Amino acid sequence: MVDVKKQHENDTGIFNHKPLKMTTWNRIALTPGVVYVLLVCIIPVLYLLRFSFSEYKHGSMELSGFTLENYIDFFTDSYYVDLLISTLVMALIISFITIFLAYPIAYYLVRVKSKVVRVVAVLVYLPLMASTVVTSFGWQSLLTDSGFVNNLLMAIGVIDEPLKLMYNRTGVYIAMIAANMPYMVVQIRNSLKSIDPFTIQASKTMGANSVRTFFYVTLPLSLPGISAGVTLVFVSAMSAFVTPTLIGGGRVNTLGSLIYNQVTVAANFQFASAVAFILLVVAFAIMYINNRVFESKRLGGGGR
Amino acid sequence: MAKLEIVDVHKSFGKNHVVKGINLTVDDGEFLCLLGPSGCGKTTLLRMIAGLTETDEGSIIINSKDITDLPPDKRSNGMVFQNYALFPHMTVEQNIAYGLKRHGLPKAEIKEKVQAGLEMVRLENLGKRYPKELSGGQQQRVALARALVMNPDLLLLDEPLSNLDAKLRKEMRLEIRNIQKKLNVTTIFVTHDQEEALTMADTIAIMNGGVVEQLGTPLEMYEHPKTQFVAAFIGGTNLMEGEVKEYAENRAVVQCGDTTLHGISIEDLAVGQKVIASQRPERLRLQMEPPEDRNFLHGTVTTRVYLGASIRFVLTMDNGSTMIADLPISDTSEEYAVGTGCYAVWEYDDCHILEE
Amino acid sequence: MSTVTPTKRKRKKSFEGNYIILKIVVFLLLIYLLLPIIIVVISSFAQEEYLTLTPSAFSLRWYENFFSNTGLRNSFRNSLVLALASTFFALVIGTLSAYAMDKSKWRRFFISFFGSPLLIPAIIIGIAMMQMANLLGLPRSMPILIVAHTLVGIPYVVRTVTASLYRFNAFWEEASFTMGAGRFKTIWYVTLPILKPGLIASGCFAFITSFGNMTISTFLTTSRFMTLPIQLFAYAKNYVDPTIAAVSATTLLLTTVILLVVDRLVGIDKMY
Repeated sequence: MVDVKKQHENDTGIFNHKPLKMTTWNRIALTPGVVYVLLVCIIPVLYLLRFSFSEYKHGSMELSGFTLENYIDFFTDSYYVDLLISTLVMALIISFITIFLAYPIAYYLVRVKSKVVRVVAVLVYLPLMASTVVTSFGWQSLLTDSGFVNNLLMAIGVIDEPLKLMYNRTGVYIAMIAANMPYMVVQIRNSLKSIDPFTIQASKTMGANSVRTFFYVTLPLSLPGISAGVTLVFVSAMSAFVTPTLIGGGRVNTLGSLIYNQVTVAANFQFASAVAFILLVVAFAIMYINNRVFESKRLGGGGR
Repeated sequence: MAKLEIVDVHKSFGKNHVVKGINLTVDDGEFLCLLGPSGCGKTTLLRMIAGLTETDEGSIIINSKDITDLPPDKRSNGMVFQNYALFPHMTVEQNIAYGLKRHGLPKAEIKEKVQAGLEMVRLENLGKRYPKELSGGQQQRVALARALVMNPDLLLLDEPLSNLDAKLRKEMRLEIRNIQKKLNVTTIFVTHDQEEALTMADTIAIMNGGVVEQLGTPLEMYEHPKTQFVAAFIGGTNLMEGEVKEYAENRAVVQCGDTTLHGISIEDLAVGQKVIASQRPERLRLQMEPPEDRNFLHGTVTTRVYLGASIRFVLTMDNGSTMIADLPISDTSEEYAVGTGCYAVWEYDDCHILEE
Repeated sequence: MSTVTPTKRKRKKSFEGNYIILKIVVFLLLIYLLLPIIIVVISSFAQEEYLTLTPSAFSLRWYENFFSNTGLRNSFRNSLVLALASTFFALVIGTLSAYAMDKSKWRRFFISFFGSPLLIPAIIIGIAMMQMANLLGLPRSMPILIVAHTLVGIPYVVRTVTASLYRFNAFWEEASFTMGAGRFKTIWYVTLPILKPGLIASGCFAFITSFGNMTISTFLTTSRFMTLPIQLFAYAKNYVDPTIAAVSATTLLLTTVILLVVDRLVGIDKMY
């Protein structure tokens, strides 16, 4: 009796059988989507790659010649190499801090059961929905010398003089961590949710206390979510330009703001394309490394 | 109301030849059961009749009209699926009205027919509910009503009872059977449960490996299995290999090792042909002395199992084979304790000689 | 969403207490997350000419400014048209694709394929589209923006519809066939209504994403044709003016309402 359904499926060949004339319709229905993503995403990105090898001509988007100059310019100028490194460092720090701040929220959303949780869930995702321009705009006024943050810190006596929070890295970190936290919360929440509650109870019945259970059971099982979250936050932090521009006031640069400035200010589209392509390669490399690191950890921990 | 003819129908999924040339005729108002193990092609055949699976070769004819290449929506079938497939976003009434609406019937008529359908399956009060608010048995009835309000040529049922518990299943067997008889709708019922088939069907088609092994009434199936597969599939059975020695008094005489058995056969058997002798456990008797004019074999009781109204004896025969005998509980039952040597005895007419 | 039964809840409480510390931490983190939004909303109703959390008087002057400013009004309208149009196209293309690939043996490949626009950093899609537009001689204006925003909406729609189809019973459609409905009637009366919650949710999501999109729009707009985030960005670079707070509060209200709708229908966490 148990396997009736499965047997039935094998029997009818549901898996290798398609309803009447479905294949023809399939192809027709799939065509617009495939063509669209190819034409609007894949081909433009490939053209971007080709264009990054184009010879520099100020303000021109015409394809001309083939040169490695844009890439040579980038990798031989210590300013750009430093920018690449500092962008990576910044993205790394933001990802790292975000994990620690997002984890309690995700844990709360999954473990605590009350009506408030649903409200908190919506509130957590609200900044994600608000345009980064709006939140950066808010942070701008919160982080000034006489802004709320400094006033608060002085009122409770942590500091005597206002901290410099605007137009430097600190402010950019504060704003970008807040902006990226919801992404991380979503990912960790999903992985925590997929943990079988009985696993945790099992650990406790075997004599592990809450802390041990967390570190030996819950945390390892939520690593896939952390991994996915880090990928999202890292890539988003590297390519950000709105927050660094508004909070950093041009003093904090990322690969993202470099591309933005090369297009809007310098009108050097060839160089912007090369930087964009470098960003893409780094982003894919991060995803790959991230997958590998967490993959091996997961196997080592015997999680699944 | 319709007569269905299936002529030499074939179907393959890739290299997997699932239905291998099936011929069947189902008369108006007949209840045919397609019975067989999983993978025998019974559901595929049903889906081909419904038009949900395309037919590779052969024809499906309803009332002398070839419908082989018609899409399912152009056929007039009512189908009940294994998991009922009730539309979750529609109420019971809307589910039943769905087909009528698609056929553009006037509203008043639809309402009338839906009401009649609900009454037929005794769900008059649940019309406004959604499927998820119903029990399995109720969902089953809605699916039945939904298939029947269309007044279809054929009612097709694909293992409709397999998701119900044992008690409900027995009730639904009767209910489906009663409704079917009342409406006199030609019905094809797919199942792997032989009890279901034996109790519900007018005719059973036993399928195995994509072909019909035997077609007949439940009684014929049971009393005169034509093949070893049918004998084994319908009820438990004791099988013995042997060779036809001669014909005597219209019966075949079969040599099985040291034993000689007399039995009946529906097929013409040649002398010297390898055959299988099949006998039902409930037709066996036990006795201490060898009988005359009956088949018998000596052995020792190894296990006794109480089955309520009867006792099942498992015997190890002197030739090393095992036989099962189901005996009604009687005063003499106790004589055959475990370890007792005795004769298993059965009538010549209860021995079916099958081609190997 | 939550499938934990009351009995389990009780057991957990006795095991782990009431999470007092966790709740305090979460509360503080929420304040951190929401502070910029709170200050924007409060300031939009304040008398002060700068952003503040402690306004002296209530005022709607910044909203009056917003509605009387043609530049802001136009860009607001542009963003609305853009978001509506791109949501529509993303829904059509995404639903068709998800529905068709569900029965394909290349399903896994297509899931990654249609997810790729989200995998590539938005800034790269923006600059690549800008060059494409230039190559094809298209002006940086509404049509090219719709094309680009539709691309970003497709992954959300494909993902949600694929998830809905995963729970979709193939026999529903077949039952409809046997009752005399053809393929198109079946899709219209059975398939689409059953997929409706997922369609609305992903549509809302595509709308919000497009409405707030800054990164891609930057490369496809001009000083004469702006979307709202671009207009705000340009303002915010130069002024800190509560008019923009009023605009932001308006868009926040819009997104919050949509967010609540999505949460009701499918749960927000299914969207990422």
